[in-house]
Amino acid sequence: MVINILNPGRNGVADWMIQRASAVILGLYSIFMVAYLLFNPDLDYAAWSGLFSHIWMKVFTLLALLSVAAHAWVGLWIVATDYIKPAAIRFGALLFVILALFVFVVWGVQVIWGV
Amino acid sequence: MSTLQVSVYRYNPENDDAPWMQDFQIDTQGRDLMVLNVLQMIKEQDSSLVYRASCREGVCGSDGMNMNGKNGLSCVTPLSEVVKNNRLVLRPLPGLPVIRDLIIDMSLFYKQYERIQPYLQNDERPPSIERLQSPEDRDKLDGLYECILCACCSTSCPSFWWNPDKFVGPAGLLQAYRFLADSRDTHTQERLSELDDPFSVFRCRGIMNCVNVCPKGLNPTRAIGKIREMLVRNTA
Amino acid sequence: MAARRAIHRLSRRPDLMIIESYQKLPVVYSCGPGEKSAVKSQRPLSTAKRPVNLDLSSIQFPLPALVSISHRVSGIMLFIGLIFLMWAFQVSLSSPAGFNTVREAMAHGFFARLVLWGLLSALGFHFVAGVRHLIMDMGHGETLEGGQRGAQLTIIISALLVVMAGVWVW
Repeated sequence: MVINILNPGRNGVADWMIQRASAVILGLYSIFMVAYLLFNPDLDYAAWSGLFSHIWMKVFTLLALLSVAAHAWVGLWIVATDYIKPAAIRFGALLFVILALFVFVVWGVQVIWGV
Repeated sequence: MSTLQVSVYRYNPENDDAPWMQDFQIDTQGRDLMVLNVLQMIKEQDSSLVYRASCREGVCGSDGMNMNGKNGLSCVTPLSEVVKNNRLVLRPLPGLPVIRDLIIDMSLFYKQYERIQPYLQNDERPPSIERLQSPEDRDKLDGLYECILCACCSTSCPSFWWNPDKFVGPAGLLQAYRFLADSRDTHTQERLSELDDPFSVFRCRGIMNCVNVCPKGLNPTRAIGKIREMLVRNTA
Repeated sequence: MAARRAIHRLSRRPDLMIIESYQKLPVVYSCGPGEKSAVKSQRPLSTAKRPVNLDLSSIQFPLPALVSISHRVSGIMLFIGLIFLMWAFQVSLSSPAGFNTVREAMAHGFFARLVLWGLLSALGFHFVAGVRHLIMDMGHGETLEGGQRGAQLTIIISALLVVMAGVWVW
């Protein structure tokens, strides 16, 4: 049994589930966004902001944002524990990642619920 | 042109501060020898070269090494399978400490093997005859029990290179599944709890180098997938 | 029973399990790597200074392995690219002027289009390789041939997506 403190889930299965579930959500969101932009080549501001005025789009985007945070956190934690052996540097790198993800989430929320 | 150019990894802690490559010319006389034969011929030229070998028929797992970039058993790997441009490069199995020349320290590999408790655990009263198992249940062990612990798989796995003390590795996990799948073993829950952390099983990224190099044709990736499935069913 | 308990205890000995010293201690070279040292060193035969064969250029990596490392690299690229995506997101929704700024950049800006194409390509590859992972999780493509075929399919589909993204952006 290997004990850790920085992994996202309580155990290996939880991490794995979080990564897979967030991946599926992000996959769907990406397909939606790419398709929307592809089929609306003459997009203007009115239509674009109109899209994000719908509550379901706000919720979907928020879900995607949180999924990015979860997915990136699990993935980058694995990368850090693979390549960065000195504990202090690894902690520092992971701290930077978690701060960056937090900023992205807050930034995104602020944009969606537009102030 | 039957002179083979062989480049061998050399390191003697008594003489050398760093490993180095030594070149040899070996006259194979056009025969498709095994790499082990070539090593024996090299030893005639330079008796200070050391390597492990025993059964010379691919069942003991002693002579695993990296031949032209790919892990395998030197006694059952013919030159026609590995030689490129008349050149053969022999290096020890990657990722584990080198004791001398092509001999590596297998301690970490064995520790991970011990860790998964590679023995049958059954708390029920032992029957007066052997523990019976149906042919279908016995079939589930095929592709798992044949492992000869040569370490070719684990030493080809980048996840094992980066975390040999935490990730059990393909060989260990194949054996872990061998006992999880055994109908006569009753300690399934304990075995699964032991493995349910982010490192032991889940460092497998599906790179599949292990399947690529196994000299017995075993599939650790599939076994790890089955362990993951059991863990998920157990927890979720 | 006692033997089994002994092995069980052995595998729980943290001092025997931790071989991090192999990774932490640097290997000291008195001559360049590859050169045989002429001087017999006086240092003792310490197990902690054993070299490790991890010369990645000497190791053969089959296609599934290359797909796997590219999956990781594309993931890191996307993480870094999030900054650009968030910027575009914010500015495009802030006002009509903002929207036009982003639109202009995507249509004519060289750097912006390069970044956009890079991110779309990384996303395409990461997505396809990710789908392959999910398929493997379900138990398909875990054999030697299956893994090889899956890796080939991933590359082909991703290459198509990269080209299509290129056409769209440029």
